[in-house]
Amino acid sequence: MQRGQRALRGNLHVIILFLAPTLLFYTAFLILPVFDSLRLSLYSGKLLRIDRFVGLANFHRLFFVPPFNTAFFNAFRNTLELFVILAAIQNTIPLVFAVIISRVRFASFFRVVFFIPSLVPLIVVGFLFKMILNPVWGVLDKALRFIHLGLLVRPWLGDAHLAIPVIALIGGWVYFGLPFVLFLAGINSIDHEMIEAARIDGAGEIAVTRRIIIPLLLPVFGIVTTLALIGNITQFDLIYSAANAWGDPAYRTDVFGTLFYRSMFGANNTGITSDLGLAAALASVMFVIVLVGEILVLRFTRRRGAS
Amino acid sequence: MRGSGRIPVRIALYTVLAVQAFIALYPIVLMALTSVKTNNEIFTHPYSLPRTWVTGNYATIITQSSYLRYYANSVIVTAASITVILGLSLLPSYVIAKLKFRGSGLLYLYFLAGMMIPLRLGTLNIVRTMNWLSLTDSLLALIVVYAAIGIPYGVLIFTGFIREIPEELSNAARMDGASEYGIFARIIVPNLRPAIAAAAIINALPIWNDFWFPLILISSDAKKTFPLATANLFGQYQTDFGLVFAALSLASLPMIIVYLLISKQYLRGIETGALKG
Amino acid sequence: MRGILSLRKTGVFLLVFLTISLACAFAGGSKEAAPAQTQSTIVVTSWRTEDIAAVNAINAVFMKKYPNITVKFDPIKNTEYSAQLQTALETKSDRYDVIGVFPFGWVENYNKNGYIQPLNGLVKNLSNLPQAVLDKYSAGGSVVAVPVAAVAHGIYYNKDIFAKYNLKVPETWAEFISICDTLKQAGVNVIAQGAVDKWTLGEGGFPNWGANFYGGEATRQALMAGDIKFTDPRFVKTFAVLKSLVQYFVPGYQSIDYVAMQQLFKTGQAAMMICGGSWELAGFKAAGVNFGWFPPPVQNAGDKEQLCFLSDLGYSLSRYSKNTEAAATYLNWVSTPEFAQLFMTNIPGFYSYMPGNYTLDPAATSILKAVQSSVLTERLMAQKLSDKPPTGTDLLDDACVKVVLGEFTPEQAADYVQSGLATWFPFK
Repeated sequence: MQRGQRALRGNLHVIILFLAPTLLFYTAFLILPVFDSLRLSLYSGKLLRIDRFVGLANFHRLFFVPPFNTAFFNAFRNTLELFVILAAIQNTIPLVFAVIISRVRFASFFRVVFFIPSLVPLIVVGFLFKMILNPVWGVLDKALRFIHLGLLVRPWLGDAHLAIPVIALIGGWVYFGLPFVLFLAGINSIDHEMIEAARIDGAGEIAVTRRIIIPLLLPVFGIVTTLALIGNITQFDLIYSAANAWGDPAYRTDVFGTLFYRSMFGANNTGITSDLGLAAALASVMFVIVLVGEILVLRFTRRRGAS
Repeated sequence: MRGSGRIPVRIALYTVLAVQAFIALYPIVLMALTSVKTNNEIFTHPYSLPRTWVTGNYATIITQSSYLRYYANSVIVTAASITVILGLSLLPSYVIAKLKFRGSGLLYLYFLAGMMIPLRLGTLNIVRTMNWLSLTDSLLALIVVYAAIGIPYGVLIFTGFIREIPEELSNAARMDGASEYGIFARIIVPNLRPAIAAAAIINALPIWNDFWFPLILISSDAKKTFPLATANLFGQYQTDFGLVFAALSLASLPMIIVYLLISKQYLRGIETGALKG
Repeated sequence: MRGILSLRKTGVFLLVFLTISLACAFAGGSKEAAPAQTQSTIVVTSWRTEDIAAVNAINAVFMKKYPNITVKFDPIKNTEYSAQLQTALETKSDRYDVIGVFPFGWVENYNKNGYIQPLNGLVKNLSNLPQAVLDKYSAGGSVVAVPVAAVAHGIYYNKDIFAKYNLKVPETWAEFISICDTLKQAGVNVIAQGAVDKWTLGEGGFPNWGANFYGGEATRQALMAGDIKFTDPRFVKTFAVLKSLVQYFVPGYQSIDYVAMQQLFKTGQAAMMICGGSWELAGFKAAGVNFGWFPPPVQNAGDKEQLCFLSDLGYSLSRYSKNTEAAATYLNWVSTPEFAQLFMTNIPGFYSYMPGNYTLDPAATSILKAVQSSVLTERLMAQKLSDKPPTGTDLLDDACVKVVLGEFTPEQAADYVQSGLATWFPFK
C-alpha cells in the first residue's frame, strides 16, 4: 500500500497524537490496575496502606489456612456451580428461542419483549425475585399451591442445595436478551442456500438445526460462554440483592465476587479492617482462572469446517 | 420458509413463545402493580390487581430522597462515559485500520485484550489510584472507570467499520491535498454513524445499571447513582413494601420506557455490534 | 483554510468538555467551601437508617440551642456500615464528624487504626456518666466514645393471639414450650425466626434466650478469662435448646430474613419473636400490632434471670473531622440528661446510661423494670472474644445457623466455635 506508507512517514505526529491519549488512559486505568494486583498480593496491609512485603504468605493463607481457605474453596465451588449452570442455560434456551423466532411471524414483537428483562438492574432483579420467592408472602409458592403443585414448595433461596441453582435461574431470566440476539444474528447470517439444499435433500427441521446451524454457531457459543465467564467471575450484584454480602445461607451462595468485596472492605460488625494482601491474592487467582477459562473456551469454539 | 408448517406445530411454537413472553414480563408487571398497593394487600392478595390504588409511594420517594439527583448523576455519568469512549476509541481505530505501520497489529490486539479482562478484579488498585488522584467520591472517577472498560470494544467495532470504508475516498482526498486530520474528520467520521450508534447503545446499559463501582467509589448522598441509591432505600423503607416496590419500579421503568420508544434502533445497534464482534 | 476540527468533531469535543466540567462541578470529593466564621456543619452517622426522622427531631433541639452549628444525620445501611465507614476513614475523608460505634473490641480497633480521637478533656460532660460504662467505650487509656444507648434483649409476643388461646406470659422454660406446643397445634405460626440473617441467631438469639441456659454473666466472665472453653456442656446445652426450637419456627424459615421476621410479627402473622430487641419498640408501635414483651424464661422456677442488656451505640469523634470544636460541642450535649430524655422519648427501646429520672414510654418502662431486677450480661462474644479473625461473633453466628439448618449437632457446633477461637484466643 504505497500511498498508506507515504502517509505514514509524513504523518508520524498524527499516529502519535491519535494513539497516545487512548493508549495511556487505557493502560493506566484498565491494564495496570488488574495486573498490579499481582504485585500487591505480595504485600500485607490495609486498603490504602501497604505495610510490608510478605512474599507468598497471602497465597499460603488463601489456600492452606482456615478460615481463609475454607472460605476460598467454598466460594470457588459456588462460583463454578453458578457458572456451569448459567452457561448451560444461556447456551441452550436463548438458542432454542432464536431458532423458533427465525421461523415464525411476529418475530419483531417477541424480539422486543424478550430483551426487556436485561434492562432491569441486577440489584433490582435479585431483590424482586427474593420477594417473589419469599416463603410467606411470595407469589411463586402461592401460585404453586393454587395449581395443586404445593408439594414442590421449598424455601428456595434458603435451601443449601437449591440456592445457587435458583440464583442461576434468576440469572438466566435476566441474561436472556443478549445471547438471544446474538444467536438470532448468527442464524440470520447463515447462508440460506445451504439450508435450502439440505431441506431439498429431505432433511427435517431438527436435522437441519443439529447438523448445519449449531456447528456454524460455534463462535457464538464461544462469545456467550466467554461473556458468562467474565460476568460471573466477579458476580456480586445478584448475590448481594438476592441474599446478602456474605452469601447466606451459611455461605452457600458466597461467590468470588462477594468474598472479594469482603476481603477489601472488612467484615461486618466486627471492626476488622480490610486485608489488602488477601484481597489482591484473591484477585490474582480469579484473574488466572478467567484467563485459563477464556483460553479453553476459545480453543473449543473456534470455527471448524467450511464457512 | 417462514410462516409455513403444519398448524399444530405452529400453535405449539406460538404457545412456547407466549409462555416465554409471559415469564419475561410478569415479574416486571408484578413489581409495578405491587408498588401501588397498600401494605396489607401486598400480603393478603399478592398477585391480583390492586383494589385500592396507592399513588403516593412514588411521590414519597421522590420528595423524601434526592431521587431526581440520583437520576441526574446516572445520566451525567452514562453520557460522559459514552462520549469519552467514543472519542478515545475513534482516534486509535482510524490509525490502526488505515495507516498500516509496524506494530499496528500488536496494538490492535493489546486494545482487544481488554475485553477479556474484568476491571472489577483491579478494584483494589482503582480505589488506591482514585485516592491518590483525590478523586474519591466523585462522578469523574466513575466516568474514568467506565471509559476504560468501554475502549476495547469501541476499538474493535470502529476498526471493523473503518476498514470497510473504501480507500478510494481517502486517496482522492489526499490527492486534493487534505491532511490526515481532514480525512479523518470529513471522510471517515460521517460514515461511521451506525458504528457510533452501536458502540453507544452497547455501552449505555451496563453503565446505567452498574452497581459495583458506585458502591465502591461513591459515598456521599449527593453523588449516588440510582442503583446505589435504590439499594440504600431498601434499608430505609424496608418495612413498607409498597415503597420498596415503588423504588424498584423507579429504578427499572425509565430504561424500559426509553427502550420501548427506540426498540428498533436499539436492537439494530446491538445486532450491528454483535456482527462485528 | 478550514481548521482541523470539523463541525462534528467540534461538537464532540465541546460535549466532552461540558460533561467533564459538569462532572467536576459535582465531583472532587467533599471539599466544601470553608465555613463562614459563624456557621459550621457537622455530619453524624450510624447504622440506624430507621431513625432518620427521630434523630433529626432530636438534633433540631440542639440546633436551636446552638444556632451556629448545623447537624446532619447521614446513616449508612446497617449491613454496609462497617465497609463504607472504614473506606471513608481509610481515605482520611472528612465526610463524617461524629461516627456511631460499638463498644469493646470494635471501638478499640478503630482507635488502633487511628480513626477516632480521645475524648478526655475534650468532652467535659463525660463525668456525668458512670465510670463502668465509660470503660466499655475506652481504648488506649482514654474514653474514645460517648456511650449513647443500651438495648435489652427479650421476647415479644402478640397479645391478641395469646388472649385467643388463653395463654399467660411464661416464667419458666417449660411454660414457654407448652405455649409453643399449644400454638403449633392450633396451626398458628409460633416463632417469627429465620436463618438468613445469622446475627438474629448468634447475637440476638443465643445470648438472649440462651443466657439462662449457659449461666449468663458469670459464664461470660469465665469465658473471657479463658477459664472455660466453648465446649463447656452449658454451651452445648444451649445449642441443643436452639435445635429444639426449630420446630416452632415459621415454615420456610430457611429463607426468611430479619425484615421478613419483623413483618411477620408486625402483621400479626406470628405469635412471638424471640430475637426481640428493645429497639423494635418504635417500629412495632407504628405498625399497630398489639404486642407485649417478657424477659427470656428461666430454666427452673426460682432461677435468677440473666438478661442481656447490651451496650450498643456510642458516638466517636473522627480524627479527620474538620469541625472538631463543633463536634465536641455536640458530643458534650449528648452527654447530658436533656439529650438522654429526648433520645429515649423519640427512640423508645434505647436506654441511656445517663443517671437521672426520666419519663419513658410505658412499654419501654416495663422492659426497664425487668432490666432492673435481673442479672445483666452483654452479648456473649462482644467483649474480647471478637478481637481477631475468626471472630467469636462470626463463629457463633455461623454455628447457630448450621444447627438450625441441621448441618451441625450441638456438640459439633460447640467444637466449631471452640476450635475457631482457639486459633488466637488465649484459653488456659
